[in-house]
Amino acid sequence: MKKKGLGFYFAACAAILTIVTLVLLFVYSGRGGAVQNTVYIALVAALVCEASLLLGEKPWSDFAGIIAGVLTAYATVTVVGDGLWNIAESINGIRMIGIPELAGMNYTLVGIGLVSILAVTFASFAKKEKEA
Amino acid sequence: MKNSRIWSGFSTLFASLLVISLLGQNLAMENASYINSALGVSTSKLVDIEAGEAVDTTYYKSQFGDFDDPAALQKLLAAEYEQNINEMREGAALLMNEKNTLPLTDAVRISVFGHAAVDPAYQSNSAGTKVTNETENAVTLKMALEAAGFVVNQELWDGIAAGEAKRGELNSRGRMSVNGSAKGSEENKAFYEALTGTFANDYKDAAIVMFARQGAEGTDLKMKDEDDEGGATGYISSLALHKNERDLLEMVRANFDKVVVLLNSPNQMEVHEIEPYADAILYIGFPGHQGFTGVAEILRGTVNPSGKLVDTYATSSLSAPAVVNSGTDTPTFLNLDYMHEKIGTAENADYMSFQAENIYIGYRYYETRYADAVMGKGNASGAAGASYGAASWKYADEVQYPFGYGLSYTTFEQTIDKVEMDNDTITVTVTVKNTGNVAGKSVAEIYAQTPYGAYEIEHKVEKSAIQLAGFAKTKLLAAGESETLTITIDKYLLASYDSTAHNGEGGYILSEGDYYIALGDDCHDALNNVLAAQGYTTADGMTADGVAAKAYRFSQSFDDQKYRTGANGVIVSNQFEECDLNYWIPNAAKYITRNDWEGTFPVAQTQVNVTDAMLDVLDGEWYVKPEGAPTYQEVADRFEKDSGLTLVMMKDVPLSDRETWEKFIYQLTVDELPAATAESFTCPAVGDLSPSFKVGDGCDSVGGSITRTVNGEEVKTATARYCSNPIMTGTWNVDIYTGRGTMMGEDGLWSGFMINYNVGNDLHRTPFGGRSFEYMSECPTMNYLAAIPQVEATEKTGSHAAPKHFVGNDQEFHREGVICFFTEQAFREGNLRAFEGSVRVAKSGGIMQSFERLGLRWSSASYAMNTQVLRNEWGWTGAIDTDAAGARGEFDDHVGYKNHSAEVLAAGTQEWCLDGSYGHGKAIVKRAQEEDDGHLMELLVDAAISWEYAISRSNIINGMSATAKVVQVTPEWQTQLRHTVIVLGVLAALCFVMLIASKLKKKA
Repeated sequence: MKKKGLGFYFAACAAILTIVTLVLLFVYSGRGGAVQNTVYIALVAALVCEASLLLGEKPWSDFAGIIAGVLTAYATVTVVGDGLWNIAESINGIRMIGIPELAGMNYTLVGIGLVSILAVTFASFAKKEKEA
Repeated sequence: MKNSRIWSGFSTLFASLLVISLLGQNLAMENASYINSALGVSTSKLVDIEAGEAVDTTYYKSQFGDFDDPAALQKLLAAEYEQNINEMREGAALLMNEKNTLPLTDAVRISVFGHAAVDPAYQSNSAGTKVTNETENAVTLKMALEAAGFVVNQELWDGIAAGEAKRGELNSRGRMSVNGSAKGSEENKAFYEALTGTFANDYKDAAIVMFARQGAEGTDLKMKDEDDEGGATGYISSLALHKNERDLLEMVRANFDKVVVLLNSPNQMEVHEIEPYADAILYIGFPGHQGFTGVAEILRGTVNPSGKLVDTYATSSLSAPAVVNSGTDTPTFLNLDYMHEKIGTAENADYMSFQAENIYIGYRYYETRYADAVMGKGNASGAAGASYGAASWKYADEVQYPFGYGLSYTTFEQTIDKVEMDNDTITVTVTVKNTGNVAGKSVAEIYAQTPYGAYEIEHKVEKSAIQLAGFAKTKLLAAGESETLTITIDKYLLASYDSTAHNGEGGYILSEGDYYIALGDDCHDALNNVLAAQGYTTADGMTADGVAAKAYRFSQSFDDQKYRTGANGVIVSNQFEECDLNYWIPNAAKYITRNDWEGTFPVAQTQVNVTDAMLDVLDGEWYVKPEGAPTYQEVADRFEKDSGLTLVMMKDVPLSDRETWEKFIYQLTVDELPAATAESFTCPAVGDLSPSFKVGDGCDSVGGSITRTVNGEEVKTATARYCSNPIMTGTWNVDIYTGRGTMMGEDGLWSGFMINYNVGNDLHRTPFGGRSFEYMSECPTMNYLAAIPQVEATEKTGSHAAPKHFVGNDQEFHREGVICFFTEQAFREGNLRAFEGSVRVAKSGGIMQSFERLGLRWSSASYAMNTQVLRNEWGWTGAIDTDAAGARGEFDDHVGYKNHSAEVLAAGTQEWCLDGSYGHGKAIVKRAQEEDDGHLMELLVDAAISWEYAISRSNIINGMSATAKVVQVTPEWQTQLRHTVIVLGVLAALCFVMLIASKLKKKA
């Protein structure tokens, strides 16, 4: 029987964070935050890649991690780029062309995105399964 | 660990970092102007191509000395703060002073109360230098009081400072963010009861209580606010006294013989609630860096207050007709679902503000209704609009302190000596005598009444019963001393816009009938003097008998020709018919007419369904290539022609020499042209024509800092934050206005700002405006008159003045895209008149537009405003800039009300604010190429000429010889960012290759 390796847990962590990110993005978008459709597509694709890592060591596993990392990086920077005015206006205490109340969510999304990238990177380095 | 996992891991790491750095680089380049501004780096340098004979290239010099002289900088800073203090000395208005409580000549040991005292609002959140208690060179209230000789109760002060009251909410970064509410802005009763021991037996000479109200950029004060815990259960106005404040006043009243209240609020609080607890009330607005020094001097009596209100203090802040459809209560269209289905949500068109008040803003409403009530006309005494559910409207119940009001520690006698008329002006000579015992300054306020007769009623030409016409302030008059003042009034200010004139073409008219020129201590007093001259007395319901001798009557025949033409003979005619809601939906709503107050006062909000015809305009797409337009290539072929002209050579070339200006611009490449449409905190260089430079922004501080080397070290000093604009305007002193203009210009000159968006000309349409602190007053004539000396002074410094937000930005709530409906008369005599002094008369170097819509069109996309009025009627040649409307890269998908770049350019707007990467300009070039439209290219050339013209008349040319060329340089951070991307790209590729290799090896 094969036991789950460290990579499995990192991949699982990355997948969970991606799901959390997707949920947060729906909330963020519902409050008026700008989210491009490509961000959702990228995150769903990243989630699929991360989920595939949970299946153990597969021929595609090495590439799935890379793709997940790249897509998550894309989504993270794109969201923060679209929310730059939220942050700028929050810092300056004004309301101009952004939604300063969403700055907190922007920080959170950036934080989760970066942790997710780290998790998938560690997952790429580590074994997804080990022999019993 | 297997090799493949190692390379997989590194590939993931570097590929992810590569994506982050690549996208980050794009993001950074899109926002390069902000980064450059923050880092203080320039994107250009000057190269002198011919070393000629040494000439002085400091075309714009500071009046304080050489820019490299530390002593000159010290003189500048001292002058900034002196200006700031003088504004408060002469702008703070004494509203109440029972039993001559002020000045506190003998008081020494005093107690200071109120959260605002320890945590004052020095300004509110918007552009400009931010001041807090800890800011360098800031003078706190306590410091100022102590400097004036008071001993402040330290234990009480420390106790209040340890409290938890706050104005606003903590944002995600733990900073206070203003929310327009007064709830929780003061400590509660139990908190202060715990501090009673600190003043039980000492510090009893006087109590000073300070209350604050703050809006902010993007945040109006709430019309429906919550009270403090234990207070009213329903909504109350944020400008009403809240429970904790009332409890505090009760406690202070019970413990002190002398209670002085300071109003640290540019918005008109409901002062009638404070009066029962106070002996004296002083309105101080926002003090800026050192305004508290002036406050303390007034309290002590070393300065005699001479400020006069520039806003009406109504009993109920909610009683003005303008309140009904505006601010935080702005309604939406009724059929939003239909609108969204047709044009989506990105056009920001949900909110509509029907300006039912017509011309009746501020005192023009209260005083006109009062006059009609006295004269028994227009159903003025009806219940509609009466506060607190009263059965009839009574002035005494509605207004606490009128426009122009302010007490002094002495008394003055003012008399009209003579009134002289000529074709264009009326000259009033007034003698002012100080009849009291102490020295003081007095303001001679001159108002006018113009006829409202059968013609005006029939043609719906509304008239305020009293309107400011001119003013002058005396020098410091010793007791018994007199001064004679001469006030010249432009007759144009007495003309009315009649949209039915000239068979419906519209135009300004001088009504037929009796005109009155009146002197008054405030607008109400002046109106009473007019009414007295007309034979009315208190028996008719007047609040006081007027003095007929203070009103001068003259007659005028009907004249619709005198102001028929504007600049260069252009006919002034209707331009804003589409801005009337009834244009789109006939008889949809009523504007107030003084002919029927009861029937037209807005007792309910106006909401309508948006129609298809309206949606056609709201989608923002209207530009079509004009017939006969040149091809793109025809215009493109004119570029890259070296004429040898440099920026300095253009500094004396008039705009009328179009040929030379075109030769100058056509030295650019087509790709360089869009840079001339980019305005940002750091504007980009335009080819090799003009360098990168910064701009100033803020109506009571232009922001920025002055960097100089002191003892080998770079020292940055923030430019001053002056008093809030209603305080400056409330000095009624042309010298103070000139001083503000000069100092802001000097601030800009020393900071290297080409232009300063520094003159706040919008109206205080209601008491709730979040940026009332930046805007001058509720009176368009006051703004017109006060702005002229300010702008002229700034323009002389070589750092341009630009008023904002042109025009009609009188609410912050949903200011982005809010649709404003109004009459042409109200717009021209109100919002436009408020800016006309700055722009047409004083010839500001630029303007910044606003976010709201005029009717259904974004103000920046209004051809009527930007081309017909500004360029044609006013003959103005400055730079027209949007408010913040940055485009990301070449983003221009024609969705979103600020993304219709071609329409905005075709309307006459030429710069996009915060568009440092000139996305709009690039999008227009792209469209010109795609649609083979040379007309758009020519409009871009026009924009470039306007921009370069402004630059060539500014301090940006300092240090440039006639042969100097601009060379663009890449900032170091951009180079490093590019290197980072390359390194990460190489690493990612290498790791990926190794991954593939390890896989192949394993397979083999």
